[in-house]
Amino acid sequence: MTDQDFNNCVDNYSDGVYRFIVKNIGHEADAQDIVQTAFEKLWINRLKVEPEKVKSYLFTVAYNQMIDHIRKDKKDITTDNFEEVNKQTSYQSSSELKQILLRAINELNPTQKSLVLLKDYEGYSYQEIGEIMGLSESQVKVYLHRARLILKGKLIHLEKMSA
Amino acid sequence: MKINNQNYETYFLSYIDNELSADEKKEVELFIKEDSKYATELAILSNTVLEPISIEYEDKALLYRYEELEASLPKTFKQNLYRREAPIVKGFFTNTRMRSISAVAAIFLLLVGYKFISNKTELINNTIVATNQGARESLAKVQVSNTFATNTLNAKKLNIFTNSNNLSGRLVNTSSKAEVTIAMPTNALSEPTLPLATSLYQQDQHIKDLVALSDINTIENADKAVSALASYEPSSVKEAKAEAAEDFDNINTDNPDRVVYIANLEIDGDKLRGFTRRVSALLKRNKTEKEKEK
Repeated sequence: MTDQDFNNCVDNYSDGVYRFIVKNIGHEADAQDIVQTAFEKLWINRLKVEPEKVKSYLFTVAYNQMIDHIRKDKKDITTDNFEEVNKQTSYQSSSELKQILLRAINELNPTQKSLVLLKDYEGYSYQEIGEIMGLSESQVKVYLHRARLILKGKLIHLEKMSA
Repeated sequence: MKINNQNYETYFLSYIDNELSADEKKEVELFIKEDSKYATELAILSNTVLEPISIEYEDKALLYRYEELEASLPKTFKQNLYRREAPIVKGFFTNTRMRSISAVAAIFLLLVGYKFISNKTELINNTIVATNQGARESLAKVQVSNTFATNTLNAKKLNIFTNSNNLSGRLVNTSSKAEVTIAMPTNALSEPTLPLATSLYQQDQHIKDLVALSDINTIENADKAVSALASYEPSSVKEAKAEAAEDFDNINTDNPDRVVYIANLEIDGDKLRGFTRRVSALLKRNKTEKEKEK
């Protein structure tokens, strides 16, 4: 990988990696640090990483960094925090349903949240998600389906509450 | 495997996750057309899918890398730059305690050396005293022997005197015989006396000579011999005294110009004092500097 290839990767993947992390931990500065570390590692290992696997490599490194960060800081991602991030970035959907969904996702555990984010935002397959998160394909399927059902239950409950 | 009312949820979830094949998707779409209840169910599950949103990572410029900015040296060149710190050899005198110990030891050795030099004279004096004592003992023996000899000689004198008296009587009668008879007891006196003296002092040639020279054939000569023996001092005592007088003068410690000998080194007293003063000043200065540092 040349420096040009690497900088292309920065242009193509940095937003996705950052979105995945910041939606997970809800802290912009920490998310930026994690992204920087991920690209630093990619630069160091640029000759080892296959070009077609660069994106998943970045997400894998970022995910592991994020898990370490969560373990170290033991920061609980509160609803307020998550909402604050959404407000700051001004990408929040106007629909009330989406608001409810974001709140519901925030209540999931980090693994379930990562599964949903990787699937919905990045469009990764079960297999790819499994590679990034160190899970088997069937585990990803089961966990993600469980997360969806939790979200469904929360959506029904919150819709009833708001109605 | 067909979709039914038992497994529809798994199909629906895989459908919204876009994990189904084209045929399976069609199957699901047909299934929900048959029953509107399942269509609503799929719609609710579809609501759990997040819409992709755009978030931009602002500091991309910080992530960019350029090979030309990553200039690095070849590994072999780097190896040339490696430096290994040489192990620090701890000197014997680097430790402050060791320094003070060695200073004390040096002073001690100096004192011992000086003491040894001053003791050397004393030692010789003691030797002389010891020799003198031995000589005195020998002298006492001589005196005792002298007394014995004197007594013997006195007794002989008495005999001579008695014999002379007897002879004087005889001399009246025959003068020519008288000379012979006087000579007789005198010879008789000298004969037992000489071997006695020689046997007592045969170890000392001087005494022998003395006795031999003194012709003890008269009472006067005998007295001289006795007095000479009494005043005799053995040669060993004389030699020791002479030696002491020649080589070992008393050291005048009050003399500032005296010279101290340490082994074969000749050290001027004043210079030594100056040197010790400088050393002590240096040590004191070091100490104060260290205290300041603290």
